[in-house]
Amino acid sequence: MLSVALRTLRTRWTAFAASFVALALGVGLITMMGLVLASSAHAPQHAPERFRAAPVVVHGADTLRVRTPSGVRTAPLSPPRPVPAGLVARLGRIGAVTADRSFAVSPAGGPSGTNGSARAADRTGLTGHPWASAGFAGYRLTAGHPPAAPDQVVVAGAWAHPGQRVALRAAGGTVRDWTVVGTVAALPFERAVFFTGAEAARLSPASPRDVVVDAPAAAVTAAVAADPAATGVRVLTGDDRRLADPDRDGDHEALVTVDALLGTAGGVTCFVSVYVVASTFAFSVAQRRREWGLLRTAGATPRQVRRIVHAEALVVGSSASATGCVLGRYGAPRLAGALVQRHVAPVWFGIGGATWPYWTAFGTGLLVALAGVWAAGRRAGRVPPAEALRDAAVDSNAMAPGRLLAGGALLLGSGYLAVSALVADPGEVLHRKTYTVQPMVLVTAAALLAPLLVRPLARLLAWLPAQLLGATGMLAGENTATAVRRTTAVAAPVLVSVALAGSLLGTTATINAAKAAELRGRTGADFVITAGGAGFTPATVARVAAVPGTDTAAFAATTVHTLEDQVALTGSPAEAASPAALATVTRLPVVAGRLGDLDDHGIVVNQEWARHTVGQYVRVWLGDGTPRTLRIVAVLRQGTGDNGAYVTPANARGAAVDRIDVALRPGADRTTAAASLRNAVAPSGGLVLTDRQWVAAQHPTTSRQTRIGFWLVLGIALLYTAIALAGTMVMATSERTRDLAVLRLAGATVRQVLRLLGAEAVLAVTVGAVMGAMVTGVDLAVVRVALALLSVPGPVTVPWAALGAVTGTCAVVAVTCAVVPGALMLRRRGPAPVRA
Amino acid sequence: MQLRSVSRTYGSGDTVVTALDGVTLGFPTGSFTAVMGPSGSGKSTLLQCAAGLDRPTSGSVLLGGTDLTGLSGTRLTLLRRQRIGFVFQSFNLLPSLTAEQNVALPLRLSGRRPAKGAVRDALARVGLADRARHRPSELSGGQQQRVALARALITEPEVLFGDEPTGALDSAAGRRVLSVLRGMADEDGRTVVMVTHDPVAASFADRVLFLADGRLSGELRAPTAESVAAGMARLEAVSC
Ligand SMILES: Nc1ncnc2c1ncn2[C@@H]1O[C@H](COP(=O)(O)OP(=O)(O)O)[C@@H](O)[C@H]1O
Ligand SMILES: [Mg+2]
Repeated sequence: MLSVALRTLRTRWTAFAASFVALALGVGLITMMGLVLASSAHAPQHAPERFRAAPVVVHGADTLRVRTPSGVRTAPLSPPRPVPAGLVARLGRIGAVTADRSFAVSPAGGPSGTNGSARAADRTGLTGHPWASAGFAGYRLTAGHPPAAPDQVVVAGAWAHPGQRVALRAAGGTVRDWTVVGTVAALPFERAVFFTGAEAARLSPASPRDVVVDAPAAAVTAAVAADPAATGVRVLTGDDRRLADPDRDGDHEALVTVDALLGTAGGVTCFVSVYVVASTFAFSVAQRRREWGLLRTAGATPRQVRRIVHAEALVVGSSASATGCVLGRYGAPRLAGALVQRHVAPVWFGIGGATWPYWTAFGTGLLVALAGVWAAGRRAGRVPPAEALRDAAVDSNAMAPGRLLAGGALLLGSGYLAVSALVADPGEVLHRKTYTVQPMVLVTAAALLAPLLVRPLARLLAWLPAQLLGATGMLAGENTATAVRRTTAVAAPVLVSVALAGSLLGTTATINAAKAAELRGRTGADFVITAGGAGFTPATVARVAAVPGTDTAAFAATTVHTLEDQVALTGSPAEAASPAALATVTRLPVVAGRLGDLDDHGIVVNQEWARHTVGQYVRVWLGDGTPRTLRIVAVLRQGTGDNGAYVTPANARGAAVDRIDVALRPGADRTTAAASLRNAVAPSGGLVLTDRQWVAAQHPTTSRQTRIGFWLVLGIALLYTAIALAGTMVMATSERTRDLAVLRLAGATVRQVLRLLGAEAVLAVTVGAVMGAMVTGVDLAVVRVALALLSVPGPVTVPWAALGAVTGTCAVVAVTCAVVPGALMLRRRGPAPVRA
Repeated sequence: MQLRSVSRTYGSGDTVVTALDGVTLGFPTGSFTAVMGPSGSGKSTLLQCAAGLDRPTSGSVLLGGTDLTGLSGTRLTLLRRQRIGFVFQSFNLLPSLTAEQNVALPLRLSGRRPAKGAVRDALARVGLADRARHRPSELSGGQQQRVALARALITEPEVLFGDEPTGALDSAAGRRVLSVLRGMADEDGRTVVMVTHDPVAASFADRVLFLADGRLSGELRAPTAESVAAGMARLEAVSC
């Protein structure tokens, strides 16, 4: 059988080309993403950077550890705690101690400074340190001398030279002039500025986060262990010193993003490629009915026909999968490079040596190829011998019972998912995982059930053109409606692309619009002042509060951790603000309790919290890790979710004010107030925005990574659709020699035949696009209903442009791939009748 | 309709096949001609060259003063659409269209709306008025053949060509098709040319042309089934 299969492969290579390309590409993409995911799971440990020349580093507590019945759960502290002053003094008794502080410094007028956790790639600002710690990172003076006076600095890099005066804003304070007295060679992980120790301590008064001790590690560990105030403080030596490096948090976040991005993209790729490859294989088998009939006439048993089909799939599947693995191997480093370049992955990110992605992708590819022809092979085996002699019947059984069953089950399943989510927890519908996965279930159901809809839709769409005088409208309508299998093979991939584009982009846009509307509703302020990375100093907050005719509310972003179900330590975003300010300046949607009741023992939660009854107590860990039991004083409406809790500033120690809401008192003049506010923040830097500007600035809340992810996903889906369309159209057109010859004999000119082929392609694509739009409509309706249940206003946003672009691309590909082979065929054959 | 020293060769070099070798003949208006000959003698080629479906390698084909060999592809198609009809042994109909739609196809292709009842009349004439809404897969071979004939009738062609139009049919169905062809020549004054293997079918024609090795080898006027069979036997004896 294999030899027969090989011979067929040689003569019918066009039919297999589409399957081959689709499969090789799919396996390539899966390999590529697998390799990148494998590398992010086993990210190489980089060597210590900032403290590479320090013997022993004592690192302030930066991790919250909570013991639960099922083990210790951890979460990062925000902000991390400094090394306690008592411990620093104690360490000083066993060896020389050098404290390191890190704080944001920004060139005046330039971008605002960044804090230690900003990602390497985004680091446009400078980092301040005391000069004493410069040597631990390996900095050496290349010119000048160390800072000796409070107004002297040493800078890393060549952007300033000794003797130059530079205007800098350090640690969110006011802009001052400093004299550069020396320079050091820059290091890749930061852009450093060094101050005298005293000046660094004055600028960043909190105790240092890292202390270098010149003493044996054992002695230091003993000293730390003996200090009761030093819980969570770590003694770092050797490679562990990298834990004190500035990029650590950023890298971790970046890798989580890479995982999420490729997880989604990989999922969609798998879904689309499995679907497309399987249906291309199936179609290539179904198209050859006459050939199977001939084989049966020649005496082949159904089993033999099936074996030929399987052997073909095996040959094409394994060669395409192998090609895909090679493609993936070349593609993976490029994908990693692109992720680094777009600042999605950390700079050091690269591909490791994992081999499982190859095996997984190869196996998946082969399996998909075989699965694709499994049902088609059974059908091919059942083709009666007489089929070879008969006129091709109208496709009556394109809807196999298995397909109907699977499609119906998935449709019911997705209906159940949507309804149960809406009933149980509408907020669930707005989560990214939900709104990326649910459309896929519905899309699969729709694609499986497509044959049912193809005929009525094609007739409906072609009704008007068919009324026209010419034959094209009528013919295209009839051909499209009767060749259900062929039309489905074209319409289904279009359906998948259109539905994915519409659902993914539409739901995010709708949710964003809802979030913007919600934010607008919650913002009672007339102005919102935002700070750069380092936040506002208390002096600045006081100056703003003193502007006449205004009420202000200062917010400091922090985190509150709770233990859910005794197993999951979840961090919720929270804002620290004074209760009085909250009540006057914001319009938070309180459903129970009173904001004014908030005090240092209370918390305002929202309905998303497991406990949300006023008067109940919740056990929380504050941002700095302090465990507290707080009383719920008010409950906010859940809304679109992630709207956070509110605590008093006493429960957010160490968190700097990063936003000030300003409401005008009645009678106050807007313009005057705006000017005064600008004056008040001018020395420390900060943006005074009107409420509208602020909401607008928050509006595109979809992060860049999510958008890159969506475009990646859509690009893949569209690429696949294009391959599927090209393959199907070329296969289908070349199988239509007879139809076209009959048409020519009936008097159709070449131009008329080609116009017909084009019209049929457009019609089939339109059928798919309409079905895709229907799926999109259902998905958007589910999101809209969820928002309504959460009482969030906002319009349904349909991404018309994306839908149009996807449909247009599909139409162009389909028309080209129908008309070009058609034209070649007609030229080759002329109008002579087919010789049977 | 006139053919002047029409030749048609296939292939080139060593493998060149001469399917027609300088054939000159005429089909008078209103006549019914049958073309016979052994398999491979060039009957189909002759028909296709005459009908403008294929282009002769040399020679000319004249239809009422128009030289078909001089026309461009599109002009030729338009001329065929208006003045020539065909029926073949099989593969005549578009499987996706109903009988009715298949019959109306040539008119719609030329941008005309079929006159009211014209399609029904054509189907009625071939005895298929009750099958208008059936698709080819729901019709028997003979019925399909008659639908094809109805389609050839509707454009009212000057010349109708049939390549073994009864080849796949039983004798009863074949006779129905043949009597329709006979009627077209007698009642409508159309020129009918038909290739056949069947002496009985050939006996419906006014005259029979015998073809051998791409050349005209004989002619029989007012044929009967017996005289045709005798002619065929002579031809086969010579060529063996
Ligand atoms: N497309 C073609 N290419 C090569 N040879 C052909 C082609 N069509 C017909 N022939 C050859 O031309 C000769 C005449 O064919 P045809 O007219 O079909 O014969 P008939 O219809 O009398 O059986 C045959 O020898 C056939 O092999
Ligand atoms: Mg023949």
